[in-house]
Amino acid sequence: MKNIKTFSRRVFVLLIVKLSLFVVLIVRLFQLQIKEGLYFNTLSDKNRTNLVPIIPKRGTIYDNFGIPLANNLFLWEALFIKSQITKNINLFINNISSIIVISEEDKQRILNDYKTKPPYFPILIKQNLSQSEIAAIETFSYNLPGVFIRPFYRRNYPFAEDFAHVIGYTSITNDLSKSNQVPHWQIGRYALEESLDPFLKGTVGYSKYEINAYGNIIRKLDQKPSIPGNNVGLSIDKVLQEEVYKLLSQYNSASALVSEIKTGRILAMASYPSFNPNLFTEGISTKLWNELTNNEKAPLSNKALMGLYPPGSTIKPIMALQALEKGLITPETTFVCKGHLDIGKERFHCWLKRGHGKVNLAQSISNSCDVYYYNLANLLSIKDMNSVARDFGFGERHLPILSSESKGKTIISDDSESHFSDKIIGVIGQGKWLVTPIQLNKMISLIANGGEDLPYSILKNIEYEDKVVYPKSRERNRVLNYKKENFEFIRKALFDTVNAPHGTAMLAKTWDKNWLASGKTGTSQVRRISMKERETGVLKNHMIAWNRRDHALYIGYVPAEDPTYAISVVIEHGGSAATTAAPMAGEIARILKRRHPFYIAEAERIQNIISGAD
Amino acid sequence: MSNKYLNFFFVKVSSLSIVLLILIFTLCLIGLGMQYSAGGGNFYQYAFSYLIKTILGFIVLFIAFRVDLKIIFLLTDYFYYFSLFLLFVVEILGDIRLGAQRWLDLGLFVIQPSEIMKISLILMLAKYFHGLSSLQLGRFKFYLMPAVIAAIPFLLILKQPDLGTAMMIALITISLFFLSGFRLKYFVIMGVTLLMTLPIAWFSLHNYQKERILNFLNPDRDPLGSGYHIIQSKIAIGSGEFTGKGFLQGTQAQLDFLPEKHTDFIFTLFSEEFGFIGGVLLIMLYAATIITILLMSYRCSYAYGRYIIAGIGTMLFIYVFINIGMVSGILPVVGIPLPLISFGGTSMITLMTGFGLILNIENHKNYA
Repeated sequence: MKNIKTFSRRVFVLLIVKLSLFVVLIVRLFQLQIKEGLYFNTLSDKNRTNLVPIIPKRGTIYDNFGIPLANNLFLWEALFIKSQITKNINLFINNISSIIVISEEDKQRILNDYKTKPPYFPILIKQNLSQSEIAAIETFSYNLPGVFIRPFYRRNYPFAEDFAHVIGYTSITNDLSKSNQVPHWQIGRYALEESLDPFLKGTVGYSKYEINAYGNIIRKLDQKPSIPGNNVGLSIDKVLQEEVYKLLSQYNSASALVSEIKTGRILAMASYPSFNPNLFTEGISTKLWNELTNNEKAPLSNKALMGLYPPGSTIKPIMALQALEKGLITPETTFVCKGHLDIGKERFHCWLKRGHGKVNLAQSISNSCDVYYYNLANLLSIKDMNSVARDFGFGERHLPILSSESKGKTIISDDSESHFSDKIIGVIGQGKWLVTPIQLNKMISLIANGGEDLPYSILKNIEYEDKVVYPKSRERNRVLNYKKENFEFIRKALFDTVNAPHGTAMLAKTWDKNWLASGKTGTSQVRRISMKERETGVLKNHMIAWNRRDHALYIGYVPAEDPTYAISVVIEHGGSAATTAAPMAGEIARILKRRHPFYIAEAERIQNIISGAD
Repeated sequence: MSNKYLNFFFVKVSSLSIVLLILIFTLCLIGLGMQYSAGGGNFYQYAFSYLIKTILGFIVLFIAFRVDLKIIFLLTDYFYYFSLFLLFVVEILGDIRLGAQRWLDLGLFVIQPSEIMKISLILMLAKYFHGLSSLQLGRFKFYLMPAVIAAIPFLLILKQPDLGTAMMIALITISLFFLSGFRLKYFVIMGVTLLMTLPIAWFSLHNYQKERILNFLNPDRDPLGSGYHIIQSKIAIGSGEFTGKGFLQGTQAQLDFLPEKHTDFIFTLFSEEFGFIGGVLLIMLYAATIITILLMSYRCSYAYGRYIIAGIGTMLFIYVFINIGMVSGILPVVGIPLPLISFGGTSMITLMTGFGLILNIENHKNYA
């Protein structure tokens, strides 16, 4: 009987053990379902729902007359989600390329993206699908889990190179923090596309789908449409910009900027060589990218804002102005030019070896006599030179909307004491000076309008919720405190520089009595000319390597009697400005004459709209 | 006396037997409902086949219920040897075919010798302990023989490899040893020995078994591979929360995030759709079944019957505990189905045979 008793007792113990273990299971269920239930519920919702972003249409960028400079192409593209590809990637590519034609390059790109992109990132298979390709993918979709087709607005730049530096480009980024966690959303990467990105990009919408474990869509749960970006109008004139760009392209590397003197609006800002921004939207190849970045002519940089050059003789008008202003000279003051001037032991040369003879102030500008200014350097202090340079916009940025603009340098560099020789070559715009074409444009605008400093603008309007908003014309920054008659004197001298016989900028002539130009050339040295070379004769520009030749600069405005348009041109290593930059400026002036009535009409139209709205 | 007995297919049975039958029937009904849900509301996906197997199961139950116990007692050794023979056959076939071999394809149907062995071993051990006198019980040297009887199938099944069934064989044997009065100090000694051999056991495991154990310890090791099952299973159970998502509304299961939802992971589907309440009720239903069975074991007047009933009750418990434990992430995934609810013929037949034997013994509990 003993064993029966033991059995009975132990059956009971066994039962207690089993029931306790069941309690363990219940505790576990409690933990999963009650304590962490909400957490697992969100996980299960995340499992079964898929948010597919609807990428908005990016705002269009128009020129002054409503011609689109950056718009969108509507097309269909096929993509796949990396994490939903369970098969071998090569197998997958073979599979899909048996359905639609995929180029070898695309295959390489898919493989590359597969290796580098994060798991949830949709990877592009092919863009710009034809109707039959769409049908083929739809038909075989059961065999292609994770593959989907969607409409896509691809950024398009109809005028490609001509506006690349102003408009910039967009591209697709891997860094989702930049694209608001939306893969494949094109973001502005350069110039206006970058700085106006908040306006242009629009708001992303979403489609919320229920999906099963294989990524197949079961049904649509919810949808929020996307909101297109705002359209933006620019002050740039497409016709002028294109023609300027064409003129620049005669040279290796050049830039030009045309602005309205009375408003500060930029009409053209071109830099050659340029690049095709459409290449970036399609995804630029590393080879091409390297070609662009390693090119010594810097096609990616906007030289009108970023290019830094010694101003050369273009600085002379404001040096003369400062000397007049300080009462150091009068318009009648003359100096004799013998082709050089000896100061102490050093000899400083004029660009004209035989010398200009007796030169007065007006002639010193129109003939660009260096010796006259060496004499001025004796009278002017470094402080005087710097203050006039700062007054006329050097050493500061003028178009903050484009972030890449250079600041440049005046004669006194920030860190070192200046020497007398700095001053004497600084007065003719050589030495430590570094100025940008937009600063040159600012200087000539200030001379032309008698010192009224109007900020530059490039934005004309923004279309905001079906309304066109015109930014208020900004207040002038300041008025330069220089005597009116001194300004007038300088302007007269600049008129002579172009129009008088023997003026150095005579090739900038418009040959139009009603549309006369004023201006000044400048040729800035890139190399030092040695004593030995002086003795044997200075080498002509065409005899030396391109990147050692002088820069050719021109600043000017039209029409002379009512300054309306400021022009600055820089031809990098262009040689003599008188024969390169000056004729190009003349050509630009003639185009401006042709375009002038259109600008007037458009300005009146806008004025009517604004005053009508008030 | 006769009014105490009720009727089961023209056979008078005790009220406890009726309770057990009702519990089994209820579990099968739940099983049918869950198979219907696993099929996404399509009766012919799983539920129909499940129904056929269940009906077949009840026929087997009835046969086991009606067979003369004396014949079973006499043939016990032959059942055991026959089961061993079948295990050897699959072992040899497995060697030929290279890879895990658990089934024998007999053309018309497939049998799994390890399942037959569970019942055969319980019968064999019961018969052995039945034959021991009260003086012999509890003494170490009389346990060497049953240890060998259990070890041979245990090792063969482990080698298949079927870790889950081997564990079950071991646990059933330990339980029966315990019930027979095996001294507790021997258990302690055996336990210590086992712990010491654990490292050896680890190295003899197949890679996929090691993977399973490592992934059990940390499912995030391989969230899309072998850890995927258990992560998705936990999400499904957890997201059921208190009352569940409702019948046929389990998104994890219905959208196929849950693998093996109609077989080993059916409890997950159940928990997702019926929540904590449903899960607790189901566990209580199993607890009630086990209590009933152990009560019957307690009431049986002869050792052979007591051991068989307790052994089968323990087997049921191990099925339930390991299955729910593994789907809820407290035990490694070893491929043990949820009794009577999971889709799968062999475990259904094994259990129904067991229940038939229990009812048979309960009906003849006063035999000597």
